[in-house]
Amino acid sequence: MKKNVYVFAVITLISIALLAGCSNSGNSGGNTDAEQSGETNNTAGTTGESNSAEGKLTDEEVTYTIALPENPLQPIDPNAPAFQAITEKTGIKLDIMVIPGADYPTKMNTLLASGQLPDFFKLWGADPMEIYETGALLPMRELIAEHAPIIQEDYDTIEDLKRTMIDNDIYTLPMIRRDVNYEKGTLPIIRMDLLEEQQLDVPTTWDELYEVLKQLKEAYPNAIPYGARGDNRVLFDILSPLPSMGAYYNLYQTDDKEWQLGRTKESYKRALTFYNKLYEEQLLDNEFLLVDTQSWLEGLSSGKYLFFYDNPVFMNQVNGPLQQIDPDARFEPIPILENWDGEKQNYKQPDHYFHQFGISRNVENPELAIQFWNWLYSEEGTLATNYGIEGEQYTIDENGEPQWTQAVIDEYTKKDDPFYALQSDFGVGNLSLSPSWLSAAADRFRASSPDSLSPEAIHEMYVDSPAIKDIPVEPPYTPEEGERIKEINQDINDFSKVELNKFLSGSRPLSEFDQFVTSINSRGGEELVEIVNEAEQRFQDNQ
Amino acid sequence: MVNQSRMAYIARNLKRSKYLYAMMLLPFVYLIVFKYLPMYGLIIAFKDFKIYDGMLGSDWVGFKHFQKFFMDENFVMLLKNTFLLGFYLLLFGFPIPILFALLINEIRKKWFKKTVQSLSYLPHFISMVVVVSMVVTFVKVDGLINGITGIFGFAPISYLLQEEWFRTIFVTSEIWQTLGWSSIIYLAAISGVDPEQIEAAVIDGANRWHQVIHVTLPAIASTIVIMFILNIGNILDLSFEKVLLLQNPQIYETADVISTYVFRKGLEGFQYSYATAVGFFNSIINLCFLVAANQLSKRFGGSSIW
Repeated sequence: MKKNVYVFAVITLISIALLAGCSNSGNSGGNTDAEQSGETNNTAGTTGESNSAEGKLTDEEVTYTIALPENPLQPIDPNAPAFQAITEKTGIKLDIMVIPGADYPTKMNTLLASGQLPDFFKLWGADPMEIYETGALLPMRELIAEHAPIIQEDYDTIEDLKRTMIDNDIYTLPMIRRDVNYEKGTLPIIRMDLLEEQQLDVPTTWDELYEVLKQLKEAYPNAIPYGARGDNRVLFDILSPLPSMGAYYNLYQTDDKEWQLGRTKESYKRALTFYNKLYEEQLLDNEFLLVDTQSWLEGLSSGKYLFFYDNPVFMNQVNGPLQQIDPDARFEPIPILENWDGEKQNYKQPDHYFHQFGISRNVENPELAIQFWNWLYSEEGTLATNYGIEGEQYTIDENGEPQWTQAVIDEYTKKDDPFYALQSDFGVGNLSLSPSWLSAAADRFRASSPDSLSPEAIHEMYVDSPAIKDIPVEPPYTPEEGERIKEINQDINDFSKVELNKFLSGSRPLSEFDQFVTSINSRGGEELVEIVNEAEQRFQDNQ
Repeated sequence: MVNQSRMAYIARNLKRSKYLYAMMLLPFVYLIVFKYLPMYGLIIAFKDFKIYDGMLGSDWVGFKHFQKFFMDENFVMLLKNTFLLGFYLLLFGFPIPILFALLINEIRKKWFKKTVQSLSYLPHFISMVVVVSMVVTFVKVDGLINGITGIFGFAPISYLLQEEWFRTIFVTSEIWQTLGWSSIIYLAAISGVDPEQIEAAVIDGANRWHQVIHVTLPAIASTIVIMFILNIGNILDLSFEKVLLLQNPQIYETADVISTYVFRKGLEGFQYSYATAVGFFNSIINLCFLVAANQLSKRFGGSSIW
């Protein structure tokens, strides 16, 4: 009998605990905003002007939450030296929500939808304009003018940075690259050893590439010449091969600076026709839609794929395993291919706004938050977020340049993948939190085997090529324009994804491409182009 | 006076069955917290919900979002896909666990019975993401299924890129995944069949087949009917994660269902009100099916939920 009483008590207790624990989720979405920021920022009470003790931004113990996506190559350690340095120098502690990169957009959308965004966050897949419309982003223009001289200077001096503004205000903080941009975005990369084996010339045009892939298919029937990860890197992304083919999916600027919608142009049809030819002849992986990055990398490192058009950083990852099978095997980048207009072009990763950061509108003490970000962009902040702690990870040499300490060099040159291991251990670099980015800081640790190509070596290959271009940045929009653009995009993007995949695989004949263009335009494609060009004109007039 | 005796009756009842009531408390709390309270959120289907204005602060817009969905060019396709997928799942997925339970019941070797049962439960315990990646690996061009069909001289097919294969893949993998687990309830019902009835049937000369048809099946009929009604009530409630993970833009024509559409528009496209309206519509259809099935069953068989 006594036992029964215990059981009864336990069940009742569990029920009460459950009820209490869930009472928040029960009325989620209501008004949890206030509670949320109250919980997360302990005591961001007073405005700590930057002249407090030891040059810290605040004397009180202030914690801000921040969400960062984690790349599997470089796990984020919230206690890494870079974060210690941040707290030590500013007095502000970052409470880091580490979210797996692949889930980051979903997770952030969910946090946004439930009104629980952290104080700071790296922006995710969605268009900043769409996030802006939810009202989640803190307007920062006045705060920056008043409290953030370094950020203000960047806005005044860096070309096109003002294009990231929304409705004449600053809602996002772009990552600024403080050194030379060695990155070339995506490049055509081929199994050079097989070209040599088959005595094939390095292709120089897209048509020559087709011939080469065809001959490779004949020589190695078990391989699939062209491997791609998902349809994004084939049909949609600005860093897909499309621009090199002279085609664009989304908005692009013509030579006379007029914006056009790429997918409605003949040039896009030409690219589709080319892809379709590769698809039909099975030169392009027919299952690319089902291929994620992991299985794509497996395909590249096992000899299944012989060509890819993607970030050259993957070369280092796949060449090693490949050479274990065949010591001569190697992927190598080739010169930018000439398209059917006789042009060579390729977009590189932008110098800046590679990542953008946002601050929640509910952040406590926004002045302090802005001062903190200003510090992150300062020289001290740049060193902390790209090198770690002075004296431990790096020293300043006689020229005033940061240098890794000998202990760090000795320890990390021995490691398997020193570049990511070091950045992960120290919490530095663009896969961590470095809004002011020294992109070459850890470059000396990048090339793990003597014959793999360093970013600098690749940079040298293309440095004089006029083909490498900057990605154009759209003009800033008013909220009304932004709202309409969002509506149009929602109407045309889903539809485009389905139809363009069908054209590529041949399940819809390319002769119907004109009908596709008509539907896009009737769904607002033409209106979209008008809005963008008007906004561009307004932006130019205001300059 | 009447009232008092009624109160006394309730009190007596509570005291007598207090442990049963205590056990009921947990599911009761669960229903309140996770099923009833969130219904409050449905009001955003009738508003232009802005997160930072809150549910109460957003403007009322009446049936705007419902109208938008009914006018949506994808409306018919989504409804058709969702319904067909649910229908096939019911058509093929519902009877198979019953058959499985009947077969298991006929096995006389205890160790064999237990092993088969345990193996059939296994897929239920694998996480959905893993199940889907297994399915994807099986049906790829160089996967297991194409390996088997290849032996018989069929050309390999990339099943997940063909619109016409999506429903088959979804339904068969769903059956594989839930077969063992769903059969438990029928096995339990079968174990409740009176052995004397079977003995009587055997004396009357019934063979195994006759026993199943005339004794076991009628005995578990009411369980089957209740399960059927519950299943019909969920006809549009497909396993959302699974559809989402299996689909790709090339096969949206058959693979896009209401819940995945809600996810894309609502969470990824930030149209919370619209997505809520669509989800609400989905629930209403489910409710209609549930009520209809219950009424039909009441009229023809007598078993019903209420």
